[in-house]
Amino acid sequence: MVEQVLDTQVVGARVDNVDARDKVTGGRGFPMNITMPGMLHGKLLRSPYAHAKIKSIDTNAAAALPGVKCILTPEDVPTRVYSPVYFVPTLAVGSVQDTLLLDTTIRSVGQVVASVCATSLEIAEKALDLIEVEYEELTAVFTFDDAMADSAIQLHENKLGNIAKNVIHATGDIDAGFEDADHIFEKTYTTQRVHTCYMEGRVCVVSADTNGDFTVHASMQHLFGLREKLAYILDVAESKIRVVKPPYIGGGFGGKLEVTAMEPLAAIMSQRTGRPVRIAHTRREDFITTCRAPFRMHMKTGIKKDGTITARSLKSFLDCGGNATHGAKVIEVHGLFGFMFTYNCPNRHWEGTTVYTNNMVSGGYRGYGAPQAAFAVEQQMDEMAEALGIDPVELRLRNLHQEGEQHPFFPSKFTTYRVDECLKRGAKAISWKDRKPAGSQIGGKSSKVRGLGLATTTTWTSCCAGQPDLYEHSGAIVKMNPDGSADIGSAAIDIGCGQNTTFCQIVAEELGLPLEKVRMTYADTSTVPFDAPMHASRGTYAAGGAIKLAATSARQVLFRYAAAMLEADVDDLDIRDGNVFVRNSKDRLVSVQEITALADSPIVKMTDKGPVPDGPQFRGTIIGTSSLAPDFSPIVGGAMYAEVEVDTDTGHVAVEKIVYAHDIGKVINPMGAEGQVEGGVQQGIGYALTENLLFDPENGACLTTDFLDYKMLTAVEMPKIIESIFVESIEESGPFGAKSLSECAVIAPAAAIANAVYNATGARITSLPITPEKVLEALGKL
Amino acid sequence: MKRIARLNVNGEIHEVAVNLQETLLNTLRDQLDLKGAKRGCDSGGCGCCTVMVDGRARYSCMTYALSVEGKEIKTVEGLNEGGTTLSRLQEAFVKKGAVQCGYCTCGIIMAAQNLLETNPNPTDEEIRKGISGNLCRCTGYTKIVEAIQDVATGVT
Amino acid sequence: MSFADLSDFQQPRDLQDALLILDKYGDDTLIVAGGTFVHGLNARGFLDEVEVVLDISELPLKNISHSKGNLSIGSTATYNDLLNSRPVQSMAAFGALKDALGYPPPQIVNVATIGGCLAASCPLFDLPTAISALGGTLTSESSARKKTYSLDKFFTGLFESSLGTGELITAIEIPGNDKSTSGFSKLETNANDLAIINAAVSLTFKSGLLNRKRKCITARVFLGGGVGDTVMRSPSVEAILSDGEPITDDKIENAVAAAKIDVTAQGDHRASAKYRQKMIEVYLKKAIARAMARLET
Repeated sequence: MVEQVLDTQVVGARVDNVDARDKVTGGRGFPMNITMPGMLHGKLLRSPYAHAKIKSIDTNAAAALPGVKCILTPEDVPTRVYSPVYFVPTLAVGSVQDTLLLDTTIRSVGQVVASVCATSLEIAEKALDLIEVEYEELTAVFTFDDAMADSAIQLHENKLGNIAKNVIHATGDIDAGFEDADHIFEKTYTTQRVHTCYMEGRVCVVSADTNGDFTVHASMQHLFGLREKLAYILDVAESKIRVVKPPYIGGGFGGKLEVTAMEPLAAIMSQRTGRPVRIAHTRREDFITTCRAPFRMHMKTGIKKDGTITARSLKSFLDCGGNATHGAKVIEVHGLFGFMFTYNCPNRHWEGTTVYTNNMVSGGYRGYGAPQAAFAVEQQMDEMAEALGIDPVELRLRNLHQEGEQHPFFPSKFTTYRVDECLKRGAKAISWKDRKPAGSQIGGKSSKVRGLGLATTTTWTSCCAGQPDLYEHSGAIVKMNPDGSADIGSAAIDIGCGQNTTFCQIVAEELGLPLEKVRMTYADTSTVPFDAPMHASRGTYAAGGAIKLAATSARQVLFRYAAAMLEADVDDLDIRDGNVFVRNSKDRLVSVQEITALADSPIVKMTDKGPVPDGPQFRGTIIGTSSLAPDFSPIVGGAMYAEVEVDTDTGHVAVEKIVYAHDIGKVINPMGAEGQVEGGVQQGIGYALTENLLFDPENGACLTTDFLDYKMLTAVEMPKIIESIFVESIEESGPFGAKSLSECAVIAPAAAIANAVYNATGARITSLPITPEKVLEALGKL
Repeated sequence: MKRIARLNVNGEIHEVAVNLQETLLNTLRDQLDLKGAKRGCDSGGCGCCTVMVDGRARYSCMTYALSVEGKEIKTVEGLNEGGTTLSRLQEAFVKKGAVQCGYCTCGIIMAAQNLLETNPNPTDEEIRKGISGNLCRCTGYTKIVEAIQDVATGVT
Repeated sequence: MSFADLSDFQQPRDLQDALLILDKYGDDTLIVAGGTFVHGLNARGFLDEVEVVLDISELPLKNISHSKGNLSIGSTATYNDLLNSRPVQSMAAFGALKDALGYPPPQIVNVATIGGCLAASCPLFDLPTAISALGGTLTSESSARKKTYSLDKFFTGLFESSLGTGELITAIEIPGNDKSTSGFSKLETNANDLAIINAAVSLTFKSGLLNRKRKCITARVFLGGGVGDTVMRSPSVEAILSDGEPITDDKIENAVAAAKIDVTAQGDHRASAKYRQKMIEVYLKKAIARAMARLET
């Protein structure tokens, strides 16, 4: 459902994904497919212990194996301490630098101990078995309470109490707010570890040449972040490293937002051997490399009888595992956006603590701390609505921020903000008015009961404007070819959200070209301007904004040339359907192709004195460039409604229908936007019900390292109906009015489903995932 | 230890030296340079490696290359005639927006091919069951199911 | 020696050749048909000693036939072959097979074999439960002799069976005529899952299925999936169901409640013992309901 609010041709049209034909016939562009002549195969040796000191490593037997070309142990690699997170400069104060490429202290099962490369994968695997490591096992801590206990063993020097980071943000007077309240609600909510489950595993191929330059291919979400991390870890100039942009990658979802051990180790092994080195994770390795961090959240809300919230407070703990990495940033996004943003209230207090444990290291995952917060915030909203006798939709409407308002503590206005409209339109689409009282079907004839639930989400597009220590600039090159087509050079990677298509649409619209005349082209860190990662729902808004600006600048050159050809004023020109024309005199036109042909291939006529110009001459490729940091991050949100059926005999929850209404700004790529919602729902339901990385409580080893044990939804368990409603408006700062979408679709589902389960059963489940066991237990049947 | 395997892939006979324990997936990708079958989990859990052997879909990561000598192996590269024409399923996946990151796509198309060859008029449930051996993390399967429906009902 | 170093790969087309290969290599041999559990075995470290793969998928052991109240299945018949066979499609007696074979995704159903599934003796699989309930037997051959095992005594532990070195399962025999019906049910998290628990029941009626009184004289009830290291039988449930009287809703309630007398479920990371124990009743009831529903058509 899209309201047309701009007169556009390509933007907003249901167009084919520009990479789809390639992807349905084999998908040649994935980094997983890259091989190089003479390439060696690397493998990583991983620790079986959760907490240990490496006493010694004997590589003699492995090195003697024919075909083994290089082995790296901690003493063979640089020892600079870093934060691996791509969107934070390595030495930024806001991040925690606690990672070593190969550390002699082991802090989680699976931490990389050594690496090998050989002429075949089989030989490399065999060599791993021959490396003898002597460990001194240390006491491991796996829970918040054990890690923060006074007597707990300390995992990092200088990190007392195993606190990696502690942050407090507050506005107003929280105590006065609670005193003002008629009712106070408080509860503890917990969430589990889940994996991003990108389908293409992490892989890299690194080739070092004799000049000391590195060429890097990898499945990742940030070219320049990988360049900066590699340069720092290897202690070389950034320009010595050329990271090549893959045409697309097989999914990221935040799971490829940091440098892992594989890229630097492959680089060093390539340098030592003079041959390209490829390292690819097994799925088992992928499962223990990144996850959405588990949280424990204690939330307290003060509210008046009329539903006005007077005080909101949250104390959150994040288990970051053995190293802080993303945990130091997820905690902030969780608090500032996930918790603080959504509902207006003068008195807010949040404290977030990132805790070291010997569990697997947590990473980035779509939503970045916000799904966890929504699980707490949106359930407490429902609990309050029920206690006060106010409809849950109405309670939210009463407490939302309003469009046009200045955000109380961010340098942002709610320029376009339509979550109120999203709430209303979603309620209508799911028939909210037919919702039955909570638990009213229990004890009835059928063991199956139905329920409706909702959750809203509000976050920031891009999330980095005004944050001094985060990367947030984008740039692009738009170059026109003699045939009238345009090529885009951009470091923004299509990670599966259809960015290549969206970007081509933006440029096509700006240059008045049909979509097929615009292409994404080759790019690497040496040829295109910097771009921040493909993360934080920033692709369309931030990278797309820069790409549009580059197209605008190319258009200005086009107009300058056209003005000369048409003998018209530049200011009177417009562009559409492949032609530049004089406004109000549409028969005065020249095709884009005529202009670009002149620019790149001068037209001459032969005379007896040789070639002379024929008509105006414009020597020079038409090219537009941009590089800028957006000075604004528009606020975006939506409302998700879920209908569930709960089997009260088994506790099984089936999601029957999802309606998601989203405050998107302008829809540029409608099929892509729907896909974002539909895919977000798949991930969100998995988070709510089935997905859970589980660990052996004795030794910390992951028990769910394949898809038989880690339960993602298949097509069979998905709701048959997922309805996307896009509430459009024109965000002036965005390309063609666009804001963003991706993360919102994954923030709300778990909370909406938890509320729907409550509505169906009268049982409130405050820990994720909502397993059949928990439901039966809550129903008193277990 | 290696042995020469004689494999019929997409109608072409290939003689390749394979490790005795080599999976068909490895042979296709690393020796025959057919990258349509993807390595997703290497344990029969994701379906990215799905190919057809004698007209039936199977996981190529669970198939020994030596076990399918003499059989007709079809990969996604064998579905479309020539470089630019698409099969009806491939076309429907493009038109319906069923392709996002695309890593699962070729495997799902092969599973869908298996489904439609054995059941040309599947219900929604049968389509979902038919691709239940394949995982997708981007699309929620919505547009994938619609694309297969379109082919079954002759819309595409 | 790791599995990466096979010294031979054989795909015989003749049973005697296969048995000779088994004789020659003995326990160093991995017998593979559909190959769908090789990764599972490898992940559990069972393949570290394997030197030879014996691929039996081309042996002429795929026949499925039904005569004289006996369903005979070649061991390398695939799930699909059996699922699409006439007896399984048309006879209530084999309903549990139809139910069980309908669960896995196509890529498994197309290649996984009946013999392979039983040989693995994996408690999480579905067919051991279903075929046990149906009172199946299996035949193995070695170069020395032919043997028959009742499935009731075949599974001896987690991934352990009575099958000896050099033996190859060649056929599975399952009794079934127009006097019985059966059903199977499985608890799974998604459509591509191993059972959290499964249940199968086979009921035989004194005067056949067409007689409206349907007095149940024999019941076989088995539970599997994650309940224990092998499939488990529940004589208490069987006794209540097969008291020679028609099966009523009340009797079903009493029967499934009696399962706990015989079966104590295990817990693991996929489900707690408490939850599995509770689900035994629910899924037994579903299996019985499926068996009984077959009488209506």
